[in-house]
Amino acid sequence: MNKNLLFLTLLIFFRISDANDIKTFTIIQNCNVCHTEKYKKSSSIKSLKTLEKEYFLTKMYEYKKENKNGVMNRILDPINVLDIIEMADYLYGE
Amino acid sequence: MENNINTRRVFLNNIKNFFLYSFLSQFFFVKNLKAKNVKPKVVVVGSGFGGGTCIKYLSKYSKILDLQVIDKYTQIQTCPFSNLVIGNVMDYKDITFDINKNLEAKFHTGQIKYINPEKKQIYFSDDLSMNYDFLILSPGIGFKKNQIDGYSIEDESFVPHCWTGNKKILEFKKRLNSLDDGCSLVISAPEYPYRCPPAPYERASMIANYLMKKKKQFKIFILDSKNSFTKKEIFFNEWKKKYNDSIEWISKKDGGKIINVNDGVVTTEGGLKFSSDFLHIIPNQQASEIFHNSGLTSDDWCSINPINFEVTGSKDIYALGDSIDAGDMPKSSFSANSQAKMLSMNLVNKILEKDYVEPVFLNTCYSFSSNDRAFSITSWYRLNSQKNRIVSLGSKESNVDASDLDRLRESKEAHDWYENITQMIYS
Ligand SMILES: Cc1cc2nc3c(=O)[nH]c(=O)nc-3n(C[C@H](O)[C@H](O)[C@H](O)COP(=O)(O)OP(=O)(O)OC[C@H]3O[C@@H](n4cnc5c(N)ncnc54)[C@H](O)[C@@H]3O)c2cc1C
Ligand code: HEC
Repeated sequence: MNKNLLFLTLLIFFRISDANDIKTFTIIQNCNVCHTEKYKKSSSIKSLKTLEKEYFLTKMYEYKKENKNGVMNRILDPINVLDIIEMADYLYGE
Repeated sequence: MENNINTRRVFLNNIKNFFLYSFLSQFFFVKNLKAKNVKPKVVVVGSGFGGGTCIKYLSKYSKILDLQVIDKYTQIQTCPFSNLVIGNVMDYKDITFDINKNLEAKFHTGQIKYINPEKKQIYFSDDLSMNYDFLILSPGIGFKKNQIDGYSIEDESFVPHCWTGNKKILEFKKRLNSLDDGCSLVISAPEYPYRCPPAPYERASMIANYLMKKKKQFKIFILDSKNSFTKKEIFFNEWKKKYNDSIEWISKKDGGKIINVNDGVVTTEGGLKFSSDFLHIIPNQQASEIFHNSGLTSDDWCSINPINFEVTGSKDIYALGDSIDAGDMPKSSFSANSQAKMLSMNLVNKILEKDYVEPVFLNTCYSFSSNDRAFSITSWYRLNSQKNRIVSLGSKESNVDASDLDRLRESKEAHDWYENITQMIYS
């Protein structure tokens, strides 16, 4: 789906950055408290930097879409798909 | 709509430019500093969750600032997971960390008595003093006095409150361990606001978990100064499932607020009397004494500008963590960590004479109901339209009737979060 269409479809989720004044890197600063760069192999929380961009996007859409009650589903509640794309661009390059 | 997308595109470019700009401005700033031969002296008071995160972040900017750190301890014993130590699920050593001194900062051990904002001077309890250009205060909480007749925090005959990190947790455990079969316990839960809203109920759960493992019959009464508490429905469900009816909660409106203690017998506002084998009072709280001693607050909590965390009416003094009024944000280490990143980012922006960035915050609080069952509450926060208050975007909790597997999974995630945040700050 192209980005504009995605944006139109999911406008309903547009909350956290609706005034366009919150920058992606400030959102990601808050992910890093759990997703630290150093972590144990057995940890359920991996570093975001080690993921592939496509995998990141797939997982994030999954968390947004699925009707599960995990911590990631709750965290993504006020985050819209455009925010997700910008996070992916920021973390892994455009 | 197109416009909106374009604006956001521009934003993305801005982010890329941010780094280039940061680099260049740091470069020119450093040149400028060298010419003047001064770097602003940034002093951080407190190496706990708020201060510790600031230190980690700001130590990366040693080219443009002179970072100094003061804590009264050289080792930090965290409050998060201390209830698991009480419950014998973790060892005391697992929640104790050396302050990380391998950072680009100068560390001092000493207790601060007060600040003189006019003179920009910090005074220690041994009468030494230190100056600053920018001061960051994250000293945790203080306790209100004279709230319950017959009770005083200093009176060591009472069970220690263990609401700040110190070795008294060992004394707490010793007393718990000495309880006999058929014992009764009273826990008093404080008025809002206080450090870690779910922690009194997590503590009751972990005490129950411990006594049950020791095969002791017990009854815990939680006498509350409030009429509700966070994640209440989940706690009720968990208590029923794990401990039958051994934990009973008595709200303020049902007469739960304790007003008097005499010879181990507590009397509540509703005239109820309880005598117990273990009386655990969690005192009402306020900002750390430093704020009150320095005239940095006229209220229970310190008021700040939520864009940059500058203390209201006090130039160049910043505060974060449990001592501040952070609007809708609860007092937690997760919140303190989030605030610390935003504060540090904007302090660097100020030093580099750049615009402030709009902060956004997150909090996730995990609570345990037994050694292998946990659940959480999450919320994002941002500034209101007047930019003078931090407001919640709505909180979400784990399901009340989540499966055993979900509770187990969240307990592992909680341990992983704790491991990651403490490693990030202390290693
Ligand atoms: C039982 C319990 C369980 C908790 N569980 C959780 C949890 O699971 N998750 C969560 O997010 N939060 C939890 N919290 C809350 C958390 O502990 C606090 O919100 C957090 O520590 C706040 O960070 P801070 O920087 O404001 O204070 P602190 O982390 O307490 O740091 C304050 C530092 O300042 C130093 N200091 C204080 N006064 C002075 C002075 N006068 N001079 C020099 N140094 C000084 C202290 O030594 C300390 O190192 C819990 C709290 C309790 C009580
Ligand atoms: C409270 C801790 C916490 C925070 C904060 C957090 N996450 Fe997560 N994240 C987890 C946990 C736990 C998992 C693994 C469990 C799961 O899949 O739900 C996870 C999984 C993920 C995954 C999948 C990784 C993989 O290896 O499969 C991605 C991607 C992710 N998070 C992105 C983010 C982003 C982006 C943010 C910030 C907006 C964020 N997370 C904030 C706890 C957190």
